[in-house]
Amino acid sequence: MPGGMTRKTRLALLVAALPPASAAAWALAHPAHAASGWGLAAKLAGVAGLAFLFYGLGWFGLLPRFLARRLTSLVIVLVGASTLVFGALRLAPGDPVDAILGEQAQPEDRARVRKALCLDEPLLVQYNDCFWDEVLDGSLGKTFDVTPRPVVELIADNFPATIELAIAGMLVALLVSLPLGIAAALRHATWVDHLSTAFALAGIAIPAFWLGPMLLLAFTVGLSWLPTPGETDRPLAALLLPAITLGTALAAKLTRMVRSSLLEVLGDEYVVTARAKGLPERVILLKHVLRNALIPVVTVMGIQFGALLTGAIVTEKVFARSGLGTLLLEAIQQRNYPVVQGTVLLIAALYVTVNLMTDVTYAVIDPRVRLDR
Amino acid sequence: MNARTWVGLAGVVLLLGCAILAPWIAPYPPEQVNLLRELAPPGGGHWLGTDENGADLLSQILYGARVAAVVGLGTVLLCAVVGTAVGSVSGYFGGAVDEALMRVIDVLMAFPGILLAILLIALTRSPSVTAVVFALSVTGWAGYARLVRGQILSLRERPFVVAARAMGAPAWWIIVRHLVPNVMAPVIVQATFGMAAAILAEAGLSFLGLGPDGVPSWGALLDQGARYFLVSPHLALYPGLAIALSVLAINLLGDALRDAWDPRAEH
Repeated sequence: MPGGMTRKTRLALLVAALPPASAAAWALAHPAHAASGWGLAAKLAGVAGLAFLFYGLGWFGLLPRFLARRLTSLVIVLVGASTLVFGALRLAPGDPVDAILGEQAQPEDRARVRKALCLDEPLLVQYNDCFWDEVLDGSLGKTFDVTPRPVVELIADNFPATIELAIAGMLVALLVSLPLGIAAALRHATWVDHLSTAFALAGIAIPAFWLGPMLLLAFTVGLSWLPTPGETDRPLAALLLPAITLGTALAAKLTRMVRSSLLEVLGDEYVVTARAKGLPERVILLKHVLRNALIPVVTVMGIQFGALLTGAIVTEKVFARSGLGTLLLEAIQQRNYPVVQGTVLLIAALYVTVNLMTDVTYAVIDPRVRLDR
Repeated sequence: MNARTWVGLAGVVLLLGCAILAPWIAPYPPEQVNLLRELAPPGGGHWLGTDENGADLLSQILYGARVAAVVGLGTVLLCAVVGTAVGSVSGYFGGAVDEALMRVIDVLMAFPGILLAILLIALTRSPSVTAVVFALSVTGWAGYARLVRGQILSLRERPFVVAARAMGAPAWWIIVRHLVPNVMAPVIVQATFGMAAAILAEAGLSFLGLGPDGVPSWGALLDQGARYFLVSPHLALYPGLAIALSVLAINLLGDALRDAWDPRAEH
């Protein structure tokens, strides 16, 4: 909506102008690094421009405003989250070179490692030349090995296994929570309801790294129904226990959600009306109740998909599966910082993007959301 | 108070009791090695059996309660204090300060907290309990700040605040004396659930080998125990039970507090 600038818009303009302006000032003050300084200014200006593009598109009504706002904040959040990862690796106490080589290493070795990790440059140059250039050229840096590989290759090798696990976990959660939650709401205050509440409480409290070994003990060791971790000839059967382990906590949360959401809708006036005009219960449930009751459930599902990605780290360790989690833990043990940084960056970016997509989906299925934002 | 509240309260008291009294009630020093009694099953002087070095599992779990309690309480205290301070300043003053703080909070809340904790701990050579608390708090305070800000926004134009302002009370006094006490109920409810989450997160970090160094943490006990679970399943069973029961008890207490302070909240 064009018109006079609001205070918020002016403020947003000011905030967006700050990074490029300060980067330019820095480049002028440090002529030696001017080239990279200007590079940084250009990148920051690009980011600010992108954020503004979305904001402006929404402002002039070319994009739905809720979508424009979400895309603007996605740009800001992605840059912020990446900077957080960069900062954590650089500003954490202790010298990473000590951690890699030990404190007794020769000075020339230390210098070599420092150069390879780009730690011999000023922080801002590291941020621009090493961090952003590696992110933008898509390599996410080179692994810190005898034969360096682009980090992105390692991630690509391990990514499918983690996504497969997360999707399987989500499926398990849905298959358990939908029937259980719906049954609990329809049979409110009966044994089904109590069972669902007990499951919800236990599922949230039981850690995946305990549930996993216990399931293995029961179904693989005790009953010999399912393959042991590492066996590869029955991939689907081997996925079952990890999926249950990863999905249980989410199943618990969703069961609670489905139940309370359904109970709320069941008490609404339009449901009473539908009953009064003699619609069959099945039609009321499928056409009127579930359609409305499941809207908040979709949101929680989306937000929790990100949590499944981080939960996969633990599950992969329990079941000795390959994947991003195993890659990350191995990289941490070997102090392979570029791999750690790249993996964390990717998981964080996925997490943020999935959350955005959830928000947008929510707005599409529930038009009320669009009105109040 | 219903039965669930009592169970929750009893569990929390038990957890804190074990944590405080561990040195007096633990039957053995937690690190005492006895190579003649490696991997002993429960019974015979060791109620919960022994680990691969013959150390008493019950004693280790009792001392582990200290780590859980300190990390749980420490994390929520730090997060609640920082979050309340930031949230009340942001909500009371509004304007540019509010906008800037909220954008920072957007970023922190969008970032998977446990991932950042993994990253921070991985960079610390021998993480202490304090380091774990800080790592879990880096993103944790943001939720409290957003909660408090929302509450303050709805409170700041209420007559008692306007009256205080009209009487010339300074902003910090209004915030500390009038606003913060009124937002404590939801903060305490959130802190209760936060404590359960922090205990789970610490156990998870320890399970991944990224927990505090040199103290018996439940997650680390479970990680060790899982390696022997074919021969001695009790080593993984009991630390896991300790985690699950503590988290369950704290969540039950949280539910009860929420029901008591906010009758509109639903299960």
